[in-house]
Amino acid sequence: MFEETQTSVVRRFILVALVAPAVLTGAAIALQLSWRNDLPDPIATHWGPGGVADGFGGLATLLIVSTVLGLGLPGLIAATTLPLLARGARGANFRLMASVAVGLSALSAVLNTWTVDMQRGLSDAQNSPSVFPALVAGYGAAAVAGAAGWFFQPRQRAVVPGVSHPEALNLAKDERAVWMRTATIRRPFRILLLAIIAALGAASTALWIVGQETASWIYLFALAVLGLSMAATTTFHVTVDSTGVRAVSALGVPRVSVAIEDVAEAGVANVNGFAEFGGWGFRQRPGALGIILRNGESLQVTRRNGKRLVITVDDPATAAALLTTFASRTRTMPPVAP
Amino acid sequence: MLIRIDASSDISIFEQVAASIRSDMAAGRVRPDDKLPSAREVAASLGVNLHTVLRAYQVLRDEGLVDMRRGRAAVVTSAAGDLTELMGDIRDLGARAAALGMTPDALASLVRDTLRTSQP
Repeated sequence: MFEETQTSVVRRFILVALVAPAVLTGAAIALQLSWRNDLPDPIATHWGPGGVADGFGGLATLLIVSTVLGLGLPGLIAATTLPLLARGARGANFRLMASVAVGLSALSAVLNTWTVDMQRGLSDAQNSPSVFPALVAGYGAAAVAGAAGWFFQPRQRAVVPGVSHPEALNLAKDERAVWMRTATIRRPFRILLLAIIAALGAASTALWIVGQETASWIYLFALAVLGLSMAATTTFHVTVDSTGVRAVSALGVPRVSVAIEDVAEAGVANVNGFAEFGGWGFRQRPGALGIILRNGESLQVTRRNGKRLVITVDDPATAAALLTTFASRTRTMPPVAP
Repeated sequence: MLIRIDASSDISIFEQVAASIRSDMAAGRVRPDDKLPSAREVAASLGVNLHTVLRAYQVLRDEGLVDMRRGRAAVVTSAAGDLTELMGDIRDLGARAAALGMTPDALASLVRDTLRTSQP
């Protein structure tokens, strides 16, 4: 019984994230090709913000877009997620990834096919009608396909493969302890971001010198936005003490914490940002909140309600051990009034 | 970085804080160029006086293990890396002492006493 539900998770993921997109994309391409003799040459391939056609090309352009968006992106999602599922990972986030994959595919199929269909019989693509109905239909189809994909898959209880739970730290009864560590993105990425910030600063200064003051302000504004978002999302100070675990960004916000009374379990596991959290940074997923600054080892804190906090930080084993110690102290010794 | 203190110990708190950070350096968990957490946060988390933690940081600075400038975070120096290399020797010594039936505490006090008397 258990075995059966386990295989059905993987099978249904494949059906939703790969087979359905392949069928949708195949049908879209077949339809678009079947209309090739009714179309103007070139056809409209891009529409501006007003919904009016502003980019033109051959039908091949749209076929490539249909394939990349409709099958390529779902394929990328499946390629990063399936290995984890195969290793036994489970969770609502995987269900969501498949549902996003089929939603994207439906968006691509309906949007691209609709825009080709509405140009049939036109002599000049300049006269092609507004793209808005196609957009509405595309996003509608994406929502329906995404929801269908979600409900077609079984519910999954979160399982983190390879999670280990370090033994509690051997603290004496009166001993106090704190664990602190700064979690950050890998060095090449940090250098790249700092280089971009420096380039923006240089550009702003140069524009100021040559008298382009408005442009100079724009560059300065871009620099401030990038600098602030870097401080808010790429470096977090993580602390484990007797009150629980907290992570505060270098900027001060966002900050996340789990009170020690709420800690059910603390462990260590390797995490893949894209497959498990759909990317890197401050990631909210069903059943988990992630501060995912790199792939690799991470601190995994499970709350009493089953939700997880995942932080990619070095030396997570010590953090997990200390957190386990404080959690068991809290459970065995009710807090005494001072 | 793990800092442990035991109020019931005979060793003063600031020495315990310094010792914790020193063993993190020796174990390679804190590396050269790492920033030490702010003394204020450490003090708050441990429930000790800010000056106790600052004093521990000053001890490490006097040993050349951290670099402290006014208004900036304390930064671990390259001397902390040399401490890591010492770890191998300490483990060897510990293994030999264990073979002789000595407890780690007995070895530590023997080392301390020996170095104190041999110093000019």
